[in-house]
Amino acid sequence: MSVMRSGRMRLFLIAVLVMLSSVARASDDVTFEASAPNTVVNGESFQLVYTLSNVSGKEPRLPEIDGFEIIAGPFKSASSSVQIINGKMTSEKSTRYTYTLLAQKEGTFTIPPATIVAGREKYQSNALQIKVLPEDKRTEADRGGNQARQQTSNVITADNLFIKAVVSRTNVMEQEAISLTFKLYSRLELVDIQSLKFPDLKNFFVQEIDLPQNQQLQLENYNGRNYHTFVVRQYLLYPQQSGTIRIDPMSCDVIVRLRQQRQVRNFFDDFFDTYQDVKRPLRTSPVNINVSALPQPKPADFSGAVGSFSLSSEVSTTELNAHESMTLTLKIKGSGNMKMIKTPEIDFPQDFETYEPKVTNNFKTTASGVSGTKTIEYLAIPRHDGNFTIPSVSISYYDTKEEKYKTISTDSYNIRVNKGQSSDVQQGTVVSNYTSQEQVQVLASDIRYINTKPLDLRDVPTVFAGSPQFWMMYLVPLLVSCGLLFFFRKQARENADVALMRNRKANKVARKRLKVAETEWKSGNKERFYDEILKALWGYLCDKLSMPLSDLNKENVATELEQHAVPADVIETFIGLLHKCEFEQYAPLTDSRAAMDKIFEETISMISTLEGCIKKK
Amino acid sequence: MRKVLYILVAVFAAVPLWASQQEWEKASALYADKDYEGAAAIYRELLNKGESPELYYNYANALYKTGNLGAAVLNYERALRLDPNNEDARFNLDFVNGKITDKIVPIERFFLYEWVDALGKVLTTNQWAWTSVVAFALFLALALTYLFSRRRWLRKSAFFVALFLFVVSAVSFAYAFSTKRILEERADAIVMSGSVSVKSSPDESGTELFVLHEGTKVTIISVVGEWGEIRIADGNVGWMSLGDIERI
Repeated sequence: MSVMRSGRMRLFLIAVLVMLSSVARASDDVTFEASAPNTVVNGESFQLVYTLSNVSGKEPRLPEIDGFEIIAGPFKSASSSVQIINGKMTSEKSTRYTYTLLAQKEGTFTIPPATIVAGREKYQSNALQIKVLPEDKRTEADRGGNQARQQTSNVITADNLFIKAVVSRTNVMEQEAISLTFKLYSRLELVDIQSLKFPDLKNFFVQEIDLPQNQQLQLENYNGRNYHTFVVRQYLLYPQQSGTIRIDPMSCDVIVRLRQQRQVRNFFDDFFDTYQDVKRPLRTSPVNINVSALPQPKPADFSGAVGSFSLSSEVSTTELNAHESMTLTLKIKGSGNMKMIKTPEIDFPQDFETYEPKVTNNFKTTASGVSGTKTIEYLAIPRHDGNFTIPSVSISYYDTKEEKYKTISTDSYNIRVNKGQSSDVQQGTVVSNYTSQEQVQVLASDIRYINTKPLDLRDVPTVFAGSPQFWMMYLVPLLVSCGLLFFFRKQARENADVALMRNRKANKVARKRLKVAETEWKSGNKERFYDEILKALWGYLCDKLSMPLSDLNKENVATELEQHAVPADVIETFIGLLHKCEFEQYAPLTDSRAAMDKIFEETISMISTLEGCIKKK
Repeated sequence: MRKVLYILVAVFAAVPLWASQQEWEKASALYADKDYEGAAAIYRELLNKGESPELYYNYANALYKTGNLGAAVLNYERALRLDPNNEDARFNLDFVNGKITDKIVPIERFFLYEWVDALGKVLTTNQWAWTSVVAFALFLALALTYLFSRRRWLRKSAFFVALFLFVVSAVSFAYAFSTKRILEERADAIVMSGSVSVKSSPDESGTELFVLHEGTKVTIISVVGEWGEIRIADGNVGWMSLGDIERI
């Protein structure tokens, strides 16, 4: 980086600028500009230059200038240039009117616009603001402006050449912007700055401020003396953590031009001064920044934005057709660490198709911080008709002026989406005929809501199992059952033995039938006995099968019994018994007693068997 | 005069009940207004007066909303201890269990054990006890019917139904006592501290076996002084300070 002395450089610059502007624009664009240094020292003279481009005019008319005395001028000088680019020729000329002014008072003064008449037109220049610094207050010998400076300009001391790190504030909040400027102070003639080494700015979010391309040296009064200053670099720093943060020194080598001092002075000395370029390493002293933490508790949606902001929003339309697009524009305006503001997410309804928001940053970075607007455009296309609500979004930030957290939010919008018009439907028949089913989307999961039924507050519940009542509930029915069982035990026992009871019952029936036969059997009347046996058998069957005796005979009894599911062997024995009885009735057998005994037993068992068999049906 | 006395007694008995009801509704309103801290405070007060599964459930909801995962799990479990069939509490417990730090894969058990366990949660312990008692009484009635009835179909059906009821009574009896044990033993506990290391022996110098975090359920197997031997769902066993856990 090299430092230019103002004079020649400025001339060159103006020429370049004038040329550039004339190429870009029509060459007959007339301008009338005033230029002067921003800062001057009281009692010193400086030059005020009015430049009139592309037209020749008369002498400018200067306004009343307060605080300055015009000691010379105007000196008129003219320049012109001709350029041929791509065969197109442009020519331009400019006229400079130079005045020499002397600052008479300290303070800040404004030189009002001057006017000039060129051709028939009257042009007005810009106004200038000039700061007049006090004179150097070192010694009486130093007094006298240029001469004094020249005298001191052959030795480098810590007083006339140094570099400083200047911070705007040393006590800041987290995320609050401070500016850091590395500034070179010199009372010597600067030639160049080399091997710049900047500190590593850890714990800060760093933003470099663009400096003008061709920076001019500024005069600044420091500790009662006037220095030429040059801003080497300027940063905006956002502290990222609390505590004391040290900014390490920066270093560089500065080359200054010193006037050679000679022992022997000869005639030419004054005409041919000899100079020497001297390299001098310089270092700034470290700076400590005290960063205080942001107060707790932070809002939930706080993302680190500090400063003061405002939020506005608008929608392109609140009523539209399905498949048409709408935009929601958010504008965040303010100053602070704008870059830390996250793009808020807007919860569009599920049926809206959304796209990445378009973010436009219009920031201005100055030594006091970043200010400007951040514009976020959200594009959304509703895919279904209905009434929808776009919820409001909010941004939380820490207000450094009011020293508290603030939340700013947008409005919520009710959007009415109509069905596409008939023409749309016709155009998009394929689409509209195709009905796509959608699954119910689970947007988020959360616990179920609390119970809102009336409270049924219980004492600590008593456990029923194992309690005396519990056992009683078993014991009481058990005892009752046992009692019942005891009282009706005979009945129960009989019920329990089914086979025995059935047998008993059958025997009873058989014995009843054979009552008469039994008496005949006892008396030994053989014919009467067999007669009674047969009677009993037939009578039993008649009763059992519910048939009159006349319908029953030896021929059909077998089939009748078969119909009542009596086993074949039982039928056979039965028929056999009938035959035996008829045969025995008239048979002249000697041992009739034993035969009668046998028949009687057989008949009883026959009836018992039949009782069981027929009952089964 | 006597009538007045009765009314007074009734009113005095109803006042605390009514006051609790008021508090309960106030807490619901606070919860609806998203003042979960306030709602939780009221529920905590109400729990001093008595308990109910709904109260534990609501308290757990409020605790979850204020970020108290461990306490929320504990209170859902308590709601389920009183009412194992509370579907909302079961759902929310599963939900919150998905948010706690420890993810423990339970040991695979034979599916029949799972079924048996699941069946036990269908009714509360008192419901099981009553089921057993009623089934037993019906069993006796049908047994007598079987013994004394003369009609064959009645005897036959009574016999089979009685047999079935006897089985029902026996199973319910078993469940009534197993659920009673869970209820009274309170062997299950929830880790309440953010992070606890489980040791191999009941003292601070024991080898650190594993680390559990807030909200994890453990089963206390035995207790030695201030230390409890615990088992977690994946079958790991170790010792931890009883101060770090709270019984369900």
